[in-house]
Amino acid sequence: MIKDITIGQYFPGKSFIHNLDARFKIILTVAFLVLVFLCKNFWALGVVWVFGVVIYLLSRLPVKLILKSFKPLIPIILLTTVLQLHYINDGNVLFEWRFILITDKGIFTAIFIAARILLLLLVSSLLTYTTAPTDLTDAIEKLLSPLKIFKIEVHTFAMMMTIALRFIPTLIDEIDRIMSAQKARGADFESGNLINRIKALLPIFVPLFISAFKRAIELADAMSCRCYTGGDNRTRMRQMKISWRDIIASVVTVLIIGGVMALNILFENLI
Amino acid sequence: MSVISVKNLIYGYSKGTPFEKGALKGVSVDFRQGEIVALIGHTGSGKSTLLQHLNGLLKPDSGDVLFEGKSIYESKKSLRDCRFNVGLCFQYPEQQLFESTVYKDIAFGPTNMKLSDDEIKKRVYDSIKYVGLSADYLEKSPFDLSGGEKRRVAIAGVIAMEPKVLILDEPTAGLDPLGKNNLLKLIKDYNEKTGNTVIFVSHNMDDVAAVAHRVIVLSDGELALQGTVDEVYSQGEKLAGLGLDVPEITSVFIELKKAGFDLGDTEYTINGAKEAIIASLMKGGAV
Ligand SMILES: Nc1ncnc2c1ncn2[C@@H]1O[C@H](COP(=O)(O)OP(=O)(O)OP(=O)(O)O)[C@@H](O)[C@H]1O
Ligand SMILES: [Mg+2]
Repeated sequence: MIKDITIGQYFPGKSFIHNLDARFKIILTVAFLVLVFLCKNFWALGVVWVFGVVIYLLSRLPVKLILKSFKPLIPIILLTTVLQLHYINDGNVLFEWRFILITDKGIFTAIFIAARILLLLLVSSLLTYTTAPTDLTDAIEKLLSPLKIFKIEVHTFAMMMTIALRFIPTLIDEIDRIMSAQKARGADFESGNLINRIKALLPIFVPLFISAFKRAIELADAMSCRCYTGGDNRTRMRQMKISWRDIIASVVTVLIIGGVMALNILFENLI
Repeated sequence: MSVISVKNLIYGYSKGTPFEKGALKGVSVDFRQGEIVALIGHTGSGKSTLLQHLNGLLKPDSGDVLFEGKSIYESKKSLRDCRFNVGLCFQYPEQQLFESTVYKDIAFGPTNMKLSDDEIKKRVYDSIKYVGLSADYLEKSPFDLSGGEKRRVAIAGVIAMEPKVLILDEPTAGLDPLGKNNLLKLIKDYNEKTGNTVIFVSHNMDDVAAVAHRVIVLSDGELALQGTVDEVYSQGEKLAGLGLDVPEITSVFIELKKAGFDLGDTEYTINGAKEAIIASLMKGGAV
């Protein structure tokens, strides 16, 4: 169940997307996220969705696994959608009962927002699906290196990010382990009303934090045992190189940004 | 009468991914009321996987698990009933302990059973004593204990629920010789005092011989052999073929046979061996 969540994991591969330079991938992902927010009507969003799906197909990730991993997020998306429905009061009224008022504009906006959230989640998780954590750190470090003039320890920061990413799957395993241990001794996560179920979840978090701290200490020990001292003046085994792929990907992204702007102007805007 | 029976169990890990792996390939076994059963098999043969089905932690791809004749997967209630009656100690005690103090950890099961506070307290003190630790441990964090101490606390947490079926996955791993003997005594004692069934996994054939009534051998997710200790241990060659050891005494007897002294091949305890050697000496008159 919870183990199905693969967000944050890395799936090794040799696809076009995998082979992009990590620095470009980060910048393009950010550009894509901005792009999603730029969309103001269904036409623009539709184009970006198609773009997103094409990127996924190019990455040749196991589709089934990815879909499964998004299943637990559906309630969150639904919740935001329902809240949206409630906040928008103009447009033609379709349904009214006490304080509940649903309009056609509300429904459109809700669908729009849900599509937007889903796309944001899909694309941002693609970055970690297709980039090895070490490449990701290197790239973050390179991209942030101008900040060094402000005496910010960029390497340390990048290391923290990698460790955080690396431990997401570990923490998920840990939740699974604690739930099994508690189930084996009669804890009940499945029956009762919502309140009871949430109450049953609480005892999971204390042990989860304890074990996370323990892991952090162990990791710190292991790193000092291997004489880790931070990143100043380190050289790299693999140098990052810009290739034709990165150029193509950037050009396509810029074109699509232009296209979305045009669509925003051409069609009536929803929000 | 059988307490738990397993019917044609098939289970694979990581279904639908490239890492898919069949761990159980159609296993059927009966566990009878009041017996001590040892489950043996080479590393990765599916022992732990089988045990996790017995209290419904894993759900089989096909097949069924019956507790007292009723399928445990039938309803949420039957699953919970089964969890209260079938106590499972995990292979690695670290996987099982989670509370902030030993007391709370042992009390977790009894609390879920909705026992009275007095009864819970009594069970915690009784069971920590039962596994051979002093009550001083109760206020410690289970994570600050040594490996052997963790093992005992984990077992105490399950015993406190007084399960009708006690399942221990490699309970003697990581214990010193004294601790190991105490644990074997505990298995016997729990079985004799309460009349409840005990199922345990062990890689040590001498331990198995010392306490088990019946032995079940798994190999590659399938049932390879089962029977009384005598029946299984007398098939030394077959066991060796499954990647398992024979008990030390049996191998001594096999060597003796090669040297020309045939004393049979069903002895596996030191006492039995002594008798057999004496009997043979008496019969032969001299060596
Ligand atoms: N969580 C898991 N995910 C994927 N595969 C697993 C998992 N747990 C076990 N397996 C695989 O299933 C098979 C059976 O494992 P299991 O743990 O039941 O073996 P075992 O008989 O208990 O071995 P051991 O004596 O080492 O404890 C093994 O091949 C193992 O690699
Ligand atoms: Mg095991």
